[in-house]
Amino acid sequence: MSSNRLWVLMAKKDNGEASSAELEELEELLRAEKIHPAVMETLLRSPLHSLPELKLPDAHWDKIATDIEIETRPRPSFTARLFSLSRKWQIAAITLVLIGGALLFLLQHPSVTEERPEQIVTRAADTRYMQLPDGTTVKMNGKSRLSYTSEGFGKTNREVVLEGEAFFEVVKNESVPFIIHTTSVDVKVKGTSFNLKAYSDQPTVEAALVSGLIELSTSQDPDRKILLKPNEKIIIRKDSAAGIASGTVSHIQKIQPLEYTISELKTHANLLMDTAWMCNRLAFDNEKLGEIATRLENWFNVAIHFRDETLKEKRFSGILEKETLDQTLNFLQLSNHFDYEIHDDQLFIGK
Amino acid sequence: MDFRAVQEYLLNNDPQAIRLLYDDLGNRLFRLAYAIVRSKEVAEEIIGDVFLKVWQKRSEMASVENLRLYLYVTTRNCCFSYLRKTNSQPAAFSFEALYQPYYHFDKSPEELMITREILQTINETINNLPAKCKLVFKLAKEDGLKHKEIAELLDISIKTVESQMAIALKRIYATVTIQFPENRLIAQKK
Repeated sequence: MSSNRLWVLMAKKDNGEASSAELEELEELLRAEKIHPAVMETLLRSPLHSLPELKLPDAHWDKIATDIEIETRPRPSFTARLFSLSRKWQIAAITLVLIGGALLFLLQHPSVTEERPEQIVTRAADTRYMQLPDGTTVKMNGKSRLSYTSEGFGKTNREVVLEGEAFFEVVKNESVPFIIHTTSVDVKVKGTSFNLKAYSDQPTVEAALVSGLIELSTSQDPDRKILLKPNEKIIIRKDSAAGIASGTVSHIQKIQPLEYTISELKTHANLLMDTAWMCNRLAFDNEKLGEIATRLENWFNVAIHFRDETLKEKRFSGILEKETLDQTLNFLQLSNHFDYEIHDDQLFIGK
Repeated sequence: MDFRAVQEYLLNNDPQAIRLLYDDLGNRLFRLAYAIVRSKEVAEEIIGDVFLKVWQKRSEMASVENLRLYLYVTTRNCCFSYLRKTNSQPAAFSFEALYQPYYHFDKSPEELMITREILQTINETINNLPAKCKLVFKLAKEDGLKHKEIAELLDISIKTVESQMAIALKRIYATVTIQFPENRLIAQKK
């Protein structure tokens, strides 16, 4: 009969806790005891489950969600904070409902359960750094969502869906291309680092390539590949990439020429403008105030309203780092005059 | 499960954190609680309290080094304090009193490349292990806890955890090799 020591080591190995010295010792013991561990190892790699499966009832979560809501409800005495807090909570509650709804759907369709995609979501004024199962690193900018199916990711496929903005450093793997889907543009990668901006509330999709090679195709014309070389940036107009012009009722497909421009990446004080957000900097280069506003909304988590539409066309340049919203606006006022008012998280811009 | 990310959510007052933890650990903690209090209703209530507690203490959660173990230990403590309150004693783990669920490997024999008979033998062996041994084996295999974490959770020494694991593995191996001659151990690969 085999010694206890052997099985202690086997258990450690199974739990991933054995040191290299212990692994060597185990191998020696196995040889001495003439034990062939193949069956054992196959078994141990397989997960154990209780039978019958003891599970919490579906309604159980609802009570926790309610308790958390009560717990989080702001105290009435802080009337000043009441509005902004309760608004935030509404958003959180909606998110929870959506997740709950999705779960319910999945439970009713067990075949889909295995394919539940992983989702990473950032809120406005938030960035997040993470690593995908294949080793690719992604830094996500605010108000963005990245999803992928973990099943076979890195082995049979490397496809992700992006809504928003992220910087990708893709691990090289010639046999499994890394593909990023956005609403109108697909990007195919074979090991590279680049920035992709595809917010649904902005009219363009932008990709800035730092190193490597990427290939883009649009949903309007999937066969047409556009290659991007290092230090190049492409801006594609979404309405041209999506194909059918919105509002067209006739069956005649109105084919618009694909509108896009490729330019060199711009640097300012050795900082790439397109990836400035990664270092917690907000950079814009001769951009219209209308576009800058969207970014300020995400950056400072405010809603911006224009009292005068012509102001949206005024252009500004600059790099911001730790400035407050007030400081930022004062800085912008230096080059082009406008007035502004801030009420809670609402910003009004006028002449 | 990315516990760092969950801790970040908690720090940002984002209730999504609780949902993530609940989806990942809810049922596992429920089974641990049920094993101790032996009532589904009480176990459900305890799990509800555990998650609410994490939310109430969300600002402190960032400094918790091992959030997963924290949840297991909190569940254990809540169960014990419930038992104390209702005067059902056990201040320490009473392994014999634990509910003994049945376990099985959820892969098919084909996937494991062994015969159905052997798989059945193995499942029987696991289910006939002594209560303490089975619980340690379950926490390592099903819940994926480290030996050190199991020791802390069950308030036993790491040596005891190791020897219990060794007993389980040794028994499985012994039963299989005694009942089945070597040439029948591994099925034909399809």
